[in-house]
Amino acid sequence: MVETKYVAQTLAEFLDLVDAVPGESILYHFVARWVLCGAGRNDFSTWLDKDFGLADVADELSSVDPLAFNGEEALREAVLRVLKKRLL
Amino acid sequence: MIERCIQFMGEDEVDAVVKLAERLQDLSILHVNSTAAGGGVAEILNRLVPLMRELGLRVDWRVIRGDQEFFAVTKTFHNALQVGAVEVPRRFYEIYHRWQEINANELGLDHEVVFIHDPQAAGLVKYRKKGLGYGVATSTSPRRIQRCGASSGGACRSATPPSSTYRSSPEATSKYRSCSSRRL
Repeated sequence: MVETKYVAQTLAEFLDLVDAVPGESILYHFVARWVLCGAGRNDFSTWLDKDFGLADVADELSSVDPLAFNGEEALREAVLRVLKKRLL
Repeated sequence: MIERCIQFMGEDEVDAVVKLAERLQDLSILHVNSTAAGGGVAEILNRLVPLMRELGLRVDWRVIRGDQEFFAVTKTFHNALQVGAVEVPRRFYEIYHRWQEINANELGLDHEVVFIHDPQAAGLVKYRKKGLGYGVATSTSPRRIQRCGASSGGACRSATPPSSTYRSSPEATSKYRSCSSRRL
């Protein structure tokens, strides 16, 4: 794992960074942490629920199935679609 | 053999595959296709099945059978999918489904996860016994066809009208409090 320079302090920053970080970062937080690290769910949903109390948004984001996409960018678009629909 | 994959995939990726496989040890898995040799699927399965077994997975591979008439029918389906509208006689569907039933009885399909790799065997989904759903992966369609199943102190996003969702002013409820740092 390579640590990136991207740190989100707020929900707005988080939304911006999901749009901007490398695809590998999306894959790591959305798939690897969930599947390989036994985190229970993807990091984004955990953060939305734990830090912002947005349990319903977190649940909807968790329903995004990474296996339905054939690339990191397609997955990022799906994640952003849910976030923008629910947060903007 | 799995160690030899490191040079092509990288150590992290192979480690990830090993970890994923550890979580699937209890599942019985079956691959089904239409030819034991020749064609991309058979070529892949010849290598994939031994690899999956090396990873400790309970994997079987079975090949459906059919007569000349059956494969003429599936060839017609294939051509229809490739080139567009084709008149398919009702009799062709009967032949197709008759052989699905024969193969379903012979294959058993008792496994918890069944991969159907070719359209020639796609009708087997009707005879599934276990699991939540079935995966159908075909060489003409690599993607899955069917499943087996706040803001910081006033810093709103510039492209977005100010919204309470992004407000973290003192009066904001805890629902929208600033989060602790999250590194992406």
